[in-house]
Amino acid sequence: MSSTSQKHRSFIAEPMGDKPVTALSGIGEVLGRKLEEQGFDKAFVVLGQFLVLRKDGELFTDWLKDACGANNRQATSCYQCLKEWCDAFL
Amino acid sequence: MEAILSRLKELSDDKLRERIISTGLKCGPITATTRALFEKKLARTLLESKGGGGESSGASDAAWGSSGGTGGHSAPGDTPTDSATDKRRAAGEEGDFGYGVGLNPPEEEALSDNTGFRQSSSVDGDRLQTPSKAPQASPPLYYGVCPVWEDVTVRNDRVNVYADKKEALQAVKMMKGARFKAFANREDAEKFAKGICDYLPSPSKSLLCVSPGKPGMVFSKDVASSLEVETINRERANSYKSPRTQDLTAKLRKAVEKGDEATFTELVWSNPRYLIGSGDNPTVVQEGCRYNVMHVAAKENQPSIAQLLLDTLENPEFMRLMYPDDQEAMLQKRICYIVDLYLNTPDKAGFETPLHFACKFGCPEVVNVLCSHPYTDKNCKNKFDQKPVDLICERKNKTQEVKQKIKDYLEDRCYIPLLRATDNSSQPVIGAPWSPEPSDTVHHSFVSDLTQSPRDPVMAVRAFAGPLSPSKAEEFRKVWKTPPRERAGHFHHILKSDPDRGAERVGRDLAREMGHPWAEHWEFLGCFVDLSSAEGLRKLEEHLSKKDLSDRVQEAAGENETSNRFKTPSPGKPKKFCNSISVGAFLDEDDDISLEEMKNRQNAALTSISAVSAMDGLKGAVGGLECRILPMKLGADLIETAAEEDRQRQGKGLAAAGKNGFCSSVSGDQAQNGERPPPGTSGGLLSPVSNLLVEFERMSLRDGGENEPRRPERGRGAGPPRPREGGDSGAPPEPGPGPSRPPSSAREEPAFGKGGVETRDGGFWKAWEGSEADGEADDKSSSSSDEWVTADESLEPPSQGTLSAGASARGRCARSKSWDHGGRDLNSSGSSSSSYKSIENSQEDFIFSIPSNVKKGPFVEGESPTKLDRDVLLAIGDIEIDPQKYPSIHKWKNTINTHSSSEMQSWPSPVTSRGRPRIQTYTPASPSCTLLSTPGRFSPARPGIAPDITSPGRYSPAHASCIQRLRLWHINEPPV
Repeated sequence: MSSTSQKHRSFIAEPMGDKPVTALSGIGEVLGRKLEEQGFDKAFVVLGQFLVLRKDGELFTDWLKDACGANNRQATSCYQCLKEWCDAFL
Repeated sequence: MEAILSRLKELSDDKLRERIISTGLKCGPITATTRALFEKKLARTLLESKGGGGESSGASDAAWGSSGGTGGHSAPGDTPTDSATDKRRAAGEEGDFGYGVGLNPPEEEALSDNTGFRQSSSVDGDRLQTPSKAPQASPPLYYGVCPVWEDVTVRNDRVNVYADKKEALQAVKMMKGARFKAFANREDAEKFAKGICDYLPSPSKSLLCVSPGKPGMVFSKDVASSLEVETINRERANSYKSPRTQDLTAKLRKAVEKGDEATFTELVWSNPRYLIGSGDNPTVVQEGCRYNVMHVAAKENQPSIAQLLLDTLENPEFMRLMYPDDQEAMLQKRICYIVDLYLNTPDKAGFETPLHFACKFGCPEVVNVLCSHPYTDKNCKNKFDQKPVDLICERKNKTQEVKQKIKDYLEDRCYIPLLRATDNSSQPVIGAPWSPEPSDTVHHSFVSDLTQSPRDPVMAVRAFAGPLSPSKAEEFRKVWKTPPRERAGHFHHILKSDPDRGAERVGRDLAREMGHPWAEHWEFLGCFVDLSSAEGLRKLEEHLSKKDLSDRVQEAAGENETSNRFKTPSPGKPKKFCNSISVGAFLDEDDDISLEEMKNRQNAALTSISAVSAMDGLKGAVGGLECRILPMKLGADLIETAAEEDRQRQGKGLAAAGKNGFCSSVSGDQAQNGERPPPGTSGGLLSPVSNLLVEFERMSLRDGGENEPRRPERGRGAGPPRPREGGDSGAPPEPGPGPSRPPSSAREEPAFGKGGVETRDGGFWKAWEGSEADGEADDKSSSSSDEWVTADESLEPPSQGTLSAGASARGRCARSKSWDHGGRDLNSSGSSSSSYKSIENSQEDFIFSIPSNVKKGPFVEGESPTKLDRDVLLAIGDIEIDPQKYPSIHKWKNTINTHSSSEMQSWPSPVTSRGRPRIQTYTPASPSCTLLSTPGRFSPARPGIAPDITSPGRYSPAHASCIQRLRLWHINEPPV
């Protein structure tokens, strides 16, 4: 699975502090820029959205696809990493 | 679908939420970013449930109602018949609402729900109300409250079963340690309350012995918190409270992240629990991932904090704060335990140790600090099975050089020590690479050397290069042992011409060339340091400026207390000041001193210690004569003969001086001799006694050399013996004022008499000891026996000097004396004067003439340039000295540079003149030597002292003994 990607591991290995949104796995430069335009400049803002959507995978991936045009893989990857982060730190 | 969507879009947020909830979906906050998603989801659900029908709103409303039933609501309409369904429904609703609305209390939501329903479908409204209210009206659950066992027996008259949860909670609060449980039927609850079934003693029971009368008192308090307080009280051996989590995370972590050492130190020392958590575990300063201070320091690239943390933890004082009643051994174990945990605890998120962090985030300095600690496990694996070495610079600072640096630090660190016999009686030995880590690859050749005969000279580390990687270390060792061919001649010359520091110089040059870290032992600084480094320069600067300062102080305070101040930690001066001076003096000049001292002591002993206040030149002559007579009379042993001889010489010299002393001009000269030492060294300022003590300490505690003696010296410097000796030794120089002479010489007679009497009964030293009231005697007499050896060996050169001086020229006498002992004698008169007013006048004479010498500027040691100055100059090398930053060094360097190199060559070496008698008195079996007997692994440098925080070579050979001991503790500890 994509969860073993380096980015994913780095993200879930530590508190997110004020990492940029691009630190999320699945969010690269392009998607990151789009998210930033909408005010999601930091990973924790995306986490906020994730939490507001009650950690719901379907809703979150939908949102991500809508918001920045992520494809399914990217959205799932991002969801996965936020979810694991929450499992570890919340 | 579109129709539904467009309709949903028109709804307000509240309405939308109502619909979502009534559809049985879970609804988060509806915001600008979430609304569309919820709308879509709702529309899809509706579509599915309807089978894609375009129906009227009324029908769809009804559909929501029914779909609500499938989604967890019980279908509205049926009146509740049995409690079981009721319960289920209540649970379902509660659960739903609780999740669905977050913070809103369920009742409110239920109400709004109802109203919503009423609006949407008037038919269902009334019916719905009943079931939603029902659960609250008729509770299906029974709460049994079971008090602790003792209480059950006492008060079983009443069964604590409650229908209302709140009542039950109230009851639990009333009874300390009680538990409650919900039951579906009353019988079970009663059984539980009576403690019949399912009774397990409460975990906290054993700790609590609550009398039944108490509960009223506890009532207002929260049970849990009071329990906690009690357990903490029990565990606590000190008076510190555990810091709040907020303090840990906010204050401590912030300080660590910012690298704020002051705040860190303050926090930690104000309450050791900031670092030591329950069960001696590191405190967690970041919740969630459970980072401790070391993690944070590593992550944030704060090497100084990491070092400070280790230092603090390894400071027994710190642990003592936490456990005031512990045994020393226990403390050591605790220190090992917690240091190990701090270094190697993985975090919760990625199972990574601080070393992982430091590598990952590319912090070479932190890696250095961590790796230099022998406890650090460099092969720990994280969640993904990676060692620290696998993650170097994975996240940050991905430059090649940082990577290489970290890689180097991660390797074994080896040191190449240079060992010298402490008495320099044999050739220096360049040791094999030594590593603080118990690695198999790093040879154990030392171990075989350890079984040396006790007669072999004791070897001590004098210098070392490192830390280096094993391969580099081996290479360096090779080059050091056999210098490259083209330069072999040069190095051989150094080695031959400079037996004291030749090997060091070669090593220093090579290390500098190859860019390896280097440190050598400088006695006057009392530590291992590379003088050309910033650290070394700082220390040298400190040393020189202190000396300078001491001169000035001496100059300024023309009072008797002047000399006292140097010996006692007076309020005016920092203790450190005294330390460094005395240490430097003792280390560098002890041989001179020992000769001097011997003389002084002889004086002291022969002239009845306590009585004599001052002697002048005349008296010296007389004393000499008398002395000679005394031992003969008594048939004294060899020691006394030596003493007598010495005395005689001294007397002669002084007699000559004394004669001259009658004319004023000459007295001035004499005074100058005398005053030399004060600006000169600390050595001069030291009372002979303190030096003696120091030396004695050194003999017994050789490896602790620099550190240990300080204390006694400081403490006793002002003690009774000083004036005594000072009085005598101070006597010779006193040439000037006549008035003081008559009384002192008058007093002198009985003094000698007394000395003679004492000598008669028992041994010389015994007698002397007897006359002493305090415990100092022990130290002195025991050390004195060593001193005699010195005396025999070192008698020759000075005696010649003095003899000739006495015979012929006064100037010659002055010369020999000023450097050797005359000066010191004079100076110690200063100390003596504190107790004897009679010499006050002469004292002043010295002080007046001091300034003339101060101009010459301080030397590294002593009043005149020595070989040490040259060594230091060489060690500093070509480094440009910033006059602003290092004014004293600058001044000193200029002074030294005024001398030609040939002049420098002729400077006397304080080292070569040493008698080095100590080795003979040194018993290898004594416990203090055990560390030393393994020269390679255990170096002589300060055990038990908190080493410099900034020093990189902290776990270098210089401190190895300390670490080694720690590790021994560690190993002996049974595995947990």
